[in-house]
Amino acid sequence: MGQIAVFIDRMRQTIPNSFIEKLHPIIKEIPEIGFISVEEDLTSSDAIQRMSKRLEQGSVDRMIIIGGSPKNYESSFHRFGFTTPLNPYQFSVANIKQQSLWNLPEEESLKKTKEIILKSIRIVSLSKPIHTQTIPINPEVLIIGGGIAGISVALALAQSGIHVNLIEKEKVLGGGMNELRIFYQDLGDAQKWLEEKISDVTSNQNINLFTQTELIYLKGHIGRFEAKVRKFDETEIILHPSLIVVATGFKREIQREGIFAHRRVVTFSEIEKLISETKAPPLYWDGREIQTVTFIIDRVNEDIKIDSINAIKQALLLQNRFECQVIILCKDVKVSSDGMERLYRRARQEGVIFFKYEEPPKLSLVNGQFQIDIKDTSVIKKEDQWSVSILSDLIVLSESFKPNPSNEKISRLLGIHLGDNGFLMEDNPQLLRIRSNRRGIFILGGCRFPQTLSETLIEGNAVSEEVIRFLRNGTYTYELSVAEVDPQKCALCYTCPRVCPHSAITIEKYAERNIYITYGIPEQNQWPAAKVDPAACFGCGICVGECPAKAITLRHQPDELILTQMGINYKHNS
Amino acid sequence: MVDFDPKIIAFCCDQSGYPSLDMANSLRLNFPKNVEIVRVPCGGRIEAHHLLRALETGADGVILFICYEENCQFLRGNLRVKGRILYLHKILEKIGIEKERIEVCYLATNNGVKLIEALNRKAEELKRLGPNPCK
Repeated sequence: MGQIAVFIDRMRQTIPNSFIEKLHPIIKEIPEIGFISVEEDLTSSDAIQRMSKRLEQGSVDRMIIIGGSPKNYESSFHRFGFTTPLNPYQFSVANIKQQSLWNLPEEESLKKTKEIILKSIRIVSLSKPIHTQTIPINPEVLIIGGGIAGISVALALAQSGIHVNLIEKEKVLGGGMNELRIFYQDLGDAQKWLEEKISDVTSNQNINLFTQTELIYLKGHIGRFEAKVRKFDETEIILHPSLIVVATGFKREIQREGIFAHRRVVTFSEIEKLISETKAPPLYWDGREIQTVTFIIDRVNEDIKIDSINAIKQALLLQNRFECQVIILCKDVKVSSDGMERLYRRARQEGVIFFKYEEPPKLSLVNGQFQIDIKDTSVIKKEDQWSVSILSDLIVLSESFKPNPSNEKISRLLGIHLGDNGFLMEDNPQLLRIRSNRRGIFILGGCRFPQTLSETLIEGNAVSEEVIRFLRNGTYTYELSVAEVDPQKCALCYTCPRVCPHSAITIEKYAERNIYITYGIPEQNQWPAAKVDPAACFGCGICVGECPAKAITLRHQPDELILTQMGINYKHNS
Repeated sequence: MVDFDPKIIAFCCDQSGYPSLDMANSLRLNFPKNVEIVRVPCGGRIEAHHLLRALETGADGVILFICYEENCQFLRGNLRVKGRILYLHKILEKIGIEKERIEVCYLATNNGVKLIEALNRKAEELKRLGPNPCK
């Protein structure tokens, strides 16, 4: 083995010069050391360039950095595209900024620093180089769900020359968007806009549209998926997409019990249709002229803002266009979307009345009109709160948003996770909203959480950018810092496919020998064994810790390295 | 037992334990004297035999700094290691070692102060328990 390069980082004079001078003789005692170089700030780009130049001169094949947190160096090397003859896994960091070394007496501090440096030298002499692997990928994407989310992604991808397969369960595209007639921002015609989008999809050469088609089978991993879809006439087609986008949307549901089963209690989609189809006042419903309309929102879904948006939008239209008196009963008005604050203020100015309730409002029928009794809690003082009775011709009720019933099947087929309430779960709600737990599968739109159209379109942009970035080069390169199964030792207990959080492990027939099977002849001379797909693995090591047969190893963090980090001199103790 | 400095091995998960440690370092908080830091990619990587090996080779106590439940980047890695610790506690009881020597501490990314508090508390506790009998 070659020699070790040592870089000392002073971290902008956090470590005093005198201390570093005392470190030099200690380091020089170690026989494997090639050269020592002191830098002022090793995380800066010019220092990294100097470092690469120094390493290119040869004679060393591993290096250690004496300095601060390894996380800092890893991120800055990543940022400045650190390319050296050295393998990125053959370096280790002696973190001498830790364990209050600055507070100890000098002698003790030097002793401890020496221990830390020796430990990282042991680590670096144990670590093996890890290389990258490249696979070719073809620019083909499968989009499940032809709602507005799927349509917007398909159009963006087709524009940049990516072949898109769009599958939709129903006869027509549009999904939940078909119930939206009016945009809340400018009160424009939503259906016209949707029709334009759909005609773009159907006329685009790059989009292969399958309506009344369902996904029935999926295997493979990122870049090499193999999906089987079944059309309505029972014909099956096999597709080979590199990436999958799931946009199956959500479902609206309403429970009508008691007085809510009355014909003049309508849902948001029904009143939206009525408003968009009636050209001039007065408004008729159920053979009766409508003069007062009451919206009851937050009855079922308190944390979703779609109801607030729809109620305020429709109230404004009813108030202005049809001269109705509108009352909105709510728990909170949710105005966190773009332009909603303005819209709410306008609604108040136009004369829409808002009441805030905590106990559910009581409804009764008086002379063919609804009487609604609520206690208005918009005043904070309890004594000033008063009960209100409202007479209304029409009641608009919010529907509850339920996950798409096919979510469960989709999640089982694709190996992605379902959240507690049945919606598909994202990998990280803050950072990676559009990524699922599996690499190469994206989720967006209503199947993740019911949300407004503008949010879905933003997510659509994010997904299409990620997909284009991934497919741009025609190849996919990944590091082999992953888990690896020794197929001979695999006992086929199916523990690892179940615990893998990223569904990267499958059982395949590829083992030539298996120590647990002593008789019989395998099919095609290959025994089944678990297999980790290196492109899909994130290298977390959960399967390694869980494997009862100890058949799995983590390439960048084997047991030796953990024991060495614990301070056990591995070579002597094993 | 005045001059007894318990040796603690602290496993830090890469998502929350190690960033917390970095934070504690930059806040210049005071560590117990004898601590070894082990950086692991996820709590789920820590195996039972690592912990037993640690006790066998001279550590007085082991502490695991991992993410809060339902907060693991790899979804259930911290629950996996929690299960292993429960199993280990049974083994330790059988062979007559105090099960307090192995402990899990849940952290978020920015809990540097909590990390140091846990380490110091652990050191105090180990001083009370005395040196590890299987050293």
